[in-house]
Amino acid sequence: MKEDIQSCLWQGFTHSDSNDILNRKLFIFTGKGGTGKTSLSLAWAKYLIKKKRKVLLNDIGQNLNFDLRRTLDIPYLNLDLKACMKDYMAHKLGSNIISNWIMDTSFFISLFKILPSLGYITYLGKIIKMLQEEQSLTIVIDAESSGHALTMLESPFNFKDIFLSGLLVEDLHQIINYLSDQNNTAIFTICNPSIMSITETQELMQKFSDLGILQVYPIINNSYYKTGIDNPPDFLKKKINLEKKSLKDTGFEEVISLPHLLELEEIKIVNGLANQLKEMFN
Amino acid sequence: MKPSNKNKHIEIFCGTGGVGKTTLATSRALYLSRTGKQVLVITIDPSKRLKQVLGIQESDIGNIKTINSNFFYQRKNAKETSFDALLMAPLETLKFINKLNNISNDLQNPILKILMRPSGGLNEIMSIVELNRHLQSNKYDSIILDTPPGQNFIDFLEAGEKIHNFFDKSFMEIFKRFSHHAGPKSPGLFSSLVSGGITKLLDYLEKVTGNIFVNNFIDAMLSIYKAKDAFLEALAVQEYFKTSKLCDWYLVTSIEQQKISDAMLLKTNAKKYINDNIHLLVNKSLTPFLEKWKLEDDDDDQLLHLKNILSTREQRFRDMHSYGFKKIIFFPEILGDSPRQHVFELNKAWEN
Repeated sequence: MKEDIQSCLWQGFTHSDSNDILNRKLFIFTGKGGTGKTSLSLAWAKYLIKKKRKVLLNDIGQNLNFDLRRTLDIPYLNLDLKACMKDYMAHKLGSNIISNWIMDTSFFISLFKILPSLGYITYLGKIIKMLQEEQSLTIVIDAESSGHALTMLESPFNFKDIFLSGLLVEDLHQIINYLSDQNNTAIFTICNPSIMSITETQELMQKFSDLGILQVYPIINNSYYKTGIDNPPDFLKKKINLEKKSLKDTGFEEVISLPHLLELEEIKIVNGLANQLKEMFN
Repeated sequence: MKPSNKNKHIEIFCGTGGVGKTTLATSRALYLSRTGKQVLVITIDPSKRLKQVLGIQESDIGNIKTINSNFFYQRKNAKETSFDALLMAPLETLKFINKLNNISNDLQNPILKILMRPSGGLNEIMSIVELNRHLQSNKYDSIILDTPPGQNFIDFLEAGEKIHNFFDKSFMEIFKRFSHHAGPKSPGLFSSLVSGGITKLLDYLEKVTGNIFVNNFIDAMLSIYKAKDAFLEALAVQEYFKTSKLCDWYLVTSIEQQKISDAMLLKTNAKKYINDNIHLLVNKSLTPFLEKWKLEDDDDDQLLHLKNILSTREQRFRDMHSYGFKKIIFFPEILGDSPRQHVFELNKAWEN
């Protein structure tokens, strides 16, 4: 039974699913560090914009790659965890003054530092509210790497048993419903074609599925095999063989993979990836 | 307790995600153990890669495990050595502190459980406590620390400040009151607060989160507060970080990722917490392969382009000499699929 679920999970998505995925509103990119989450989320946003969608990109307030985003003309959603929390408290308590006051006391500063989950919950809540209020909007999140992205997405689930009363409860259920809804949310977990990287992605997918979040799609990035080099030198042949072996050993052969792009500049990599996505989804 | 400087050495591996910090840190542990040193390698990274690199079981997380060198290679007449490895589990650290100080806590508290998860808010603080504990044990010549990537590394460095913040005056106020009470299990802790701004703050918090959260939160904080001596003692570790005789820093990068500016940003942000002993480690270098690769006259443009791109990527890191690194060390890409093989091959690279 468990194996069935797994082989189903590992399959990623086929061409027939791609339209369905494309129509969703919230896209979250996560995965192991250094696999190209940021490049891919920029490429994805770029691709959607080309399709005339109204897109906002956010990286959980890290505000990275300012220049790159501007060159690519991708609108940024200026939101960070603290601002979301402040906003949320003001809304719930019906007063900006009180919210501003309490959020700057050392008690609350410490509280949010040691319980990042509270920030994550209000952040997700804010994003989902925006999406619900404006039907034509799409949000792409360049999330943190596996463990921290899991902490973020787990937060509403972990806290629903703790917030049995209070103003937060209803919002929590809304967040959970939105995240688990196949029509709204898609999570892409990015990995490299190596055993370690794939294993980490599989562990992560398992944990998401335990939470009831099933619309998680793995993407293999940086594949030299996909680059399609005719007659590669010996060391690259070895590398390509290792890639193939890793995919086979982990049951990831069917998962969509993107080529290692032979470019030096990030902007060219993002544009190259956007073209790859276009081919894949059109 | 006077620390004998010669025998206490910390080596800290930091860098952006996925560059190979864990594998390199482990290879360093293997290498040092082969030179006859008593070594402990601790990984704080919640992705728990060391588990794969060392074949550590889920049940071993949070406990020290001795790894024999023949786990990585077996050769006739090769001298067997070993080193210790620890995968951080904040809950185990708390249990240890509790046991040492005879503190009893309700570890089933749901907020405490969340706080003690590997990616929970106390991970970095707990690893400072854990590090201090092993420094004080005097058991090891070298302690190697494999830190989490990016911003979480800065969180780790700021852990000391967080400890201060955490136990700072206004935050302590409420706990002082509580510590006069019977303990975390006593009912109505919340209602026992009668005066002061804190009551008001908790009141607002309760409105939003409900009183179950507030009560659980207070109990969880009280549990941690009881162990505050262990936290405050651990602040000593910050001084080690700043002393170049006691602590070496290894900033790990990878040719594969080309995140030079991210690495430099990390170095800049870390500056006020660390010393000048910073080495740049460049992982997954293809230079040895590129040097051997001779293009033939009839090779096409694609291969020429490929070689140019790959060579330029290597050169970018060689150009970093001027950025104030003590040393730049290149580690070759290992073309093998087993993590053990990677550790073994990289351990040889430390010899040069």
